[in-house]
This record gives sequence, structure tokens and C-alpha cells, in this order.
Amino acid sequence: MIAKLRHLLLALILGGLLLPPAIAALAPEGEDTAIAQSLAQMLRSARTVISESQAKIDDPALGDKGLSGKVVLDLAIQKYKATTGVDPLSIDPQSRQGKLLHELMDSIAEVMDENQTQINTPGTGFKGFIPAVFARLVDESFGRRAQGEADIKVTAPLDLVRNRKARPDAWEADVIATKLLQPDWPHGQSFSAMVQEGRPAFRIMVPEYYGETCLSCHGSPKGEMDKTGYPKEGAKLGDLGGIISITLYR
Amino acid sequence: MLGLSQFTIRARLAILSCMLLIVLAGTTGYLTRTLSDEAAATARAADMFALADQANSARIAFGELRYWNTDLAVSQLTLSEQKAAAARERLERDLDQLAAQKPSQIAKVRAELADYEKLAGQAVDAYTNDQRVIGNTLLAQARQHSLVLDELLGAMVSEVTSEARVARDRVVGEAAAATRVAYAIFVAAVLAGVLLTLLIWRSISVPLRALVSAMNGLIAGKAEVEIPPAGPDEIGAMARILALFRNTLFELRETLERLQSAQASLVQSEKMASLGQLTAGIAHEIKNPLNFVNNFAELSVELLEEVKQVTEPAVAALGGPQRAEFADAIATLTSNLEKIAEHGKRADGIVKSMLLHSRGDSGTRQISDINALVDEALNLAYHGARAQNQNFNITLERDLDKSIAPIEVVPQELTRVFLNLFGNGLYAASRRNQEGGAPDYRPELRVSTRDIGGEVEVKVRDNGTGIAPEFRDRLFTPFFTTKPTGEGTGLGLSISYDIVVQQHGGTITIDSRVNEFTEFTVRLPRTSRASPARAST
Repeated sequence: MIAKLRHLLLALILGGLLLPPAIAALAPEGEDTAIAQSLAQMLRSARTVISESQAKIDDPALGDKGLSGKVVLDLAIQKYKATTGVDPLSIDPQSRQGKLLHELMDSIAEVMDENQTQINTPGTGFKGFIPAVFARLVDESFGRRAQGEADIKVTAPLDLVRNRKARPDAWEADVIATKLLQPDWPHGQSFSAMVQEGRPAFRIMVPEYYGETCLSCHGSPKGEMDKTGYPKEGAKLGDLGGIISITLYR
Repeated sequence: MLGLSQFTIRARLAILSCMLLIVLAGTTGYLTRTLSDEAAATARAADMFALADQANSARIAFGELRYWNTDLAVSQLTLSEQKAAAARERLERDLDQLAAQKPSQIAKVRAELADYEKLAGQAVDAYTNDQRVIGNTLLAQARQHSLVLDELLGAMVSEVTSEARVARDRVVGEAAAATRVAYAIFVAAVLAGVLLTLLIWRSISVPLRALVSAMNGLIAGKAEVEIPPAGPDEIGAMARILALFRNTLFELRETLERLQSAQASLVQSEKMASLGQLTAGIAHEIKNPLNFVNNFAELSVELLEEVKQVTEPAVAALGGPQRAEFADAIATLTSNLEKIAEHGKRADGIVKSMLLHSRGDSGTRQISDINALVDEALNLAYHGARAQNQNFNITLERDLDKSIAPIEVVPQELTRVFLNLFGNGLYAASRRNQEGGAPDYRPELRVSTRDIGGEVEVKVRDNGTGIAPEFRDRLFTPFFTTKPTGEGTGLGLSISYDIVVQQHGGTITIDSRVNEFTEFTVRLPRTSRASPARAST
């Protein structure tokens, strides 16, 4: 059905009947998709490391948590490899994918190194250094490193966004509403498209669903304050909780 | 009270109830109107306070909006954005409601709010885009507007709160005034009610007490007790009944007195009758021997004269002393016999009078002119008195009622009555004159007649010695007299009483003061009305 609509739009554009919209229904490039999925997976892996280390991070009795940038990055690489079967270090760093992946890994290490003081502060339990914050900081760092080439942002349906920096832009909000939140949208399936952002760009929305660890802050009862002081959203296991939005400029 | 007594007791109580009801209705009406006004004023004051709350709520909402905007700029949390949006919504709602009452001030607030929101929004966006310096600048500019805005809202809160307090104070003041007025009305109503109750109570109790007092007086036998005036009310009706009762009591008392008087008269009559019968028997028995005494005394005098003539030669032959002794004895004997005859005649006169007293009806009733009988008897009495004493002078006054119609009497009997009364009067006046009364004393005897309807009244009044009170009860008793022995038999008034009371059914009364006057009053009925005692004889 969707494929039919794409073909119909392409035919209308080629026939000069319809101008190219902001969401261009161009056929996604395979390389862009592979690069984006690779970046998303690396981000997920690193975030998982932080999630699994959350108890250690929030331990007030523990000073040095042993979570330096290198440690976290190594653990993230291990998880990446375990998930994809590919060693990211084996990817040619000169290639477009390798370059962007290395920039992302450097951002991961940088964020962790820059926040050592915060996470290693003894006597303080919850330090606000959670996977979401970690991911946002990594995204921001990556954006600076890959300026003009790529952007990574973790966004979500507007009612689930906690930090306004993570608010979906118009394209993202439309994709979320019309695709990812639709009941018939296949679970886990990404949405990608070529768009015109002043210049052609490949954009992909990789959905993420709430896992058990997520629900401690985003689950029930709705409205109850989580450990960050934010009211829980009342989400259930498997609900769409966020989207890794990646833009690859051409 | 005089005014209230014009109404019945029921009407008075109705007046009291009506007055209290009117006061109650008036008070209720006043309080209802006042409470209604107060309720409206309270509602206005409540509206003002609600407006003040609204203004305060707007100020608080703006404070929250400012806080969450600042928090959003720092934290970037959408929760702060949501809170800011909620505060904005409340602020707008409050401003919408305030705009109806304070349009110009709210317009200023909205203008400042718009400027603040614009700058604050730009500041948040700058922070979101990691443009902290620009964000700080914009936030500082927004702060200036927020201060003005806060000042405007604060001034509005103060102004509206002040207006609300004024309205509240006015309501409280009016409520206090109304309370005072209500108290005053209540006190006035209570006083008026008490006063009117006292007046009504007095209008009932005073005449009621007088009535009870009059009743007690009547029960105690005080005929002169005053009965309260009979008003138109229930007590007046009782007073009228009591007055009627008193009059009836008077009549009963008078009747009782007349009955007692009649009873006394009857007893006296019975005494007189029995005494007359006794007197008649005694007189009859005495008269025969007395006739012998008198006759033989007169015969003895004549025989003694004959003896004197027969014995004259023999006496002449006697010597001088014997002849003188004889003549002296004859003279003494003659004198004794003459005294026997004289006193025998006097005794005979007494006996005759006694018999006359007891002989009963001695005449026939005739239509007679009472004035003529009085005049004739007065002349006889006066000339009789003059015959006994040539020096006696007295002023006679006649006041005879010419209109008196002839009445049915026994004329010769009544003449005896008048002769007795006139004789007594002339005697008393003469006696006082002789006893040396005041220098200017002039004996008088006044006789008057008068027609008093069913009776004819004859009054005989002298200004003589009078009759001492202790003698009055015995004046009509036979043989009772105050005259010296030999000057009266004591039967004159007794016979007069018998003639007037028993024979003619009239009355004879006496009034007298010693050395001033004595007045006999004889009343004779126009028609025959013999007393029961007399009728029984």
C-alpha cells in the first residue's frame, strides 16, 4: 500500500503535477540507511552501558565509578559487536560510515570524560546522569563534530518529550504522528526519506520502545514523580518511547 | 385610662395584641428590607473580594509563569513549559474576568504581558539553541516587563482589596446600624407593650378593685359605700348590677326598718290596748266608791251647814272660848270636807279620762277640712291658756296649705289630738319664758299643714323647753308626764297616739332639742287605714 503511494507520488512529480514537498518521497539510499542504522546502534549500545551502570553511578558510597570514556566506549563497542556482529573499529575510518561512526565514538568518550567529576562525586546518590541525558550530550557533541554532515537527535512524541531540545521538528512530528504511532506500523520498523533541508538530506526515524529499565522512570503510576523529579508518563512495556532521528546531509 | 375604659376588656386586649402585631410586622418589615439591602451589599462586597482574589490569582499565575519560563530556560524541561502554559492559561482566564471590571488596567497588563512573553519565549529559544548570552539578555529584558507587570497586578490587587474592604466595612457598618435600630425598635416595642399592658391592666384592676371594695362595703353593711361609675365595659355592667343590688338593699333595709318600727308600734299598741283595758276595769271599780266619797263629802258639807244653823242658838249660849273652839272645829271640818270633795273631783276627772282613753272608737268618720279643725283647736287652746294666765303672750304662726282636700277622719277625736299638742306647745313655751330664757326670747308656736300625696301632714313646732332625749321613748306611755304634779295627767299624748295611730292609721313622730324646740309631726292617710291592733279591738 505504502509502496503504491510512493510510486504514485513519483509519477505525479515526474509528470510536473506536484512540486517536491518537504518530505520527499525519494527512494532511500542503501548506504545512508546502513550508516544511520550503524550510528543508531552505537548510540543505543553506549546508552545501554550507562543504563546498566546506573546503580553504580548513583551509588553515593562509591567515588570513582570506573566509567571513564574509554571504559564506556569499549563496553559500547562490545555491545555493538554483539548486536550487529560487526566490529566498528574494523570499518574504514576514511569511509563516510567509518568517519561518522568514529566521530560518534569519540563523542561518547568525550561526554563520559567530561562528566567524570559529576558521576564520581561521593556522598551524592542520584546525579542526574541518566541514559537520556547521556544520549542528548552525545548527540550534541556529535553534532559539533559532524557539523554539515550529519545530526543525531533522540526525540519522541511531543507529549513524551522531557527536554525541549528533544522536541521533534515538523518533519519528525509528522512522521511520528502519521507513521510510527499508527496502529498498523510494524513494530521496530524505521522510516526514512530523502528531504530537502536547504540541500538534499537523508533522514531516518528509528523507533525505540520502552523496556523494563525504562519504566522505572516512565511507567506507572502516571504522574508519580520519578527519581529525577519528573512525573512518570504512565507508559507500558513496548510502547513507543523515543525515536533516534538521524540526518545525513549530502 | 379614661380613654381605654371606653372600650370593652376584649377590645382593649385586641388593641394590645394589634399594637404588638403592628410593631412586630413593622420590625420584621424593616429587618427584611435591611437584610435584603445587606445581602445585596454583602454580595457586592463578596464580588469585590472575589475580584481581589482574581487579581491576586492573576498575580500568582503570572509569578508562576515567570518562574516556569525561567525554569524552562535553565532546565529545558517540557514539564516547565507545561507548567508555564498552565500558568498562562490561568492568567489569561483571570485577566479575562478582571477585564470586565478593570478594562483599562487589564489592557495595560496585557500589553506588558505580551512584551514579556515575547521576550521570555525568545530567551528560552536562545537557551534551547545554546545561545546563553542572547538568552540572558532577552531574559533580562523580559524581566523588566515582568516587574512592571507585577507592579500593575500588585497595584490592582491593592486597589481592589481596598475597595472590597471599604465595601465590607460599609456592610459591617450598615449591619451594626441596623442591629442598633432593631434593638431600639425591640426596646421601644417592649416598653410600649409594657406601658400599654400596664394601662390596660390598670384600666381593669382599678375599677375592679373599687368594685370589690364596694362589694365588701355592701357586705359589711355600709350603705354609703361608693360604687364606681358604670362605664360601657364589662366592669361597668357589673357596677350597674351592683348599684341595682345596692338600691335593692336600701329598699330592703328601709322596709326592714319600717317593719321593725311597725313591730315596735304594734308592741306599743298592744301594751296600750292591754293597759287601757286594765285602766278601764280599775277606773270602773274606783269610780263607784269615789262617787260615794264625793257625794258624801258634798252631803257632809251641806249637813255641816245645817248642823251649824241648827246649833247656832246653842252655840251662842256658850261661852266665848267654847264658841270659838266650836266655830274653829266646824270650819276645819268644813275645810276638810271641801278638800275631800275637791280631790275627789280631781280623782273623778282622772278616772273619767281613763275611761275615755279606754272606751274605743267614740265617733264616726266624716269628710272633714283638716285646716278648719287645726284652726279651731288652736283658737281654743290659746284662749284656754290665756284664761289661766292673763299675762301669757305667744306668737302664733299658721301655715296652712289651702290646697289640701278634705279627708276622712273622726273630727272630734282629732280636735282632742290637736288640743293636746297645742296645749303642750303653749305650756312648754310659757314654761321656758317663765324660767327666764334669753332676753330676746319670744315664745312662738308654729302650725303648718301640707298635702304630701296620699297623706296629710300637720306639724306643731314650739320654741319651748324641749324634751330631753331620755324621755322620748316614754312620751306616749299613759300617765307619763314631765309636768309638775297636778298640772297634767300623763294621758294627753297617750290618747293622741291612740287616736292618730290606731284609730286613723297614721303616724305621730317627735323631734326636739332641749331649750330650742319641739316639733310633733302627724301624718294622716286620706283614706281609712286603721292599724291591725286597732282593727282587732
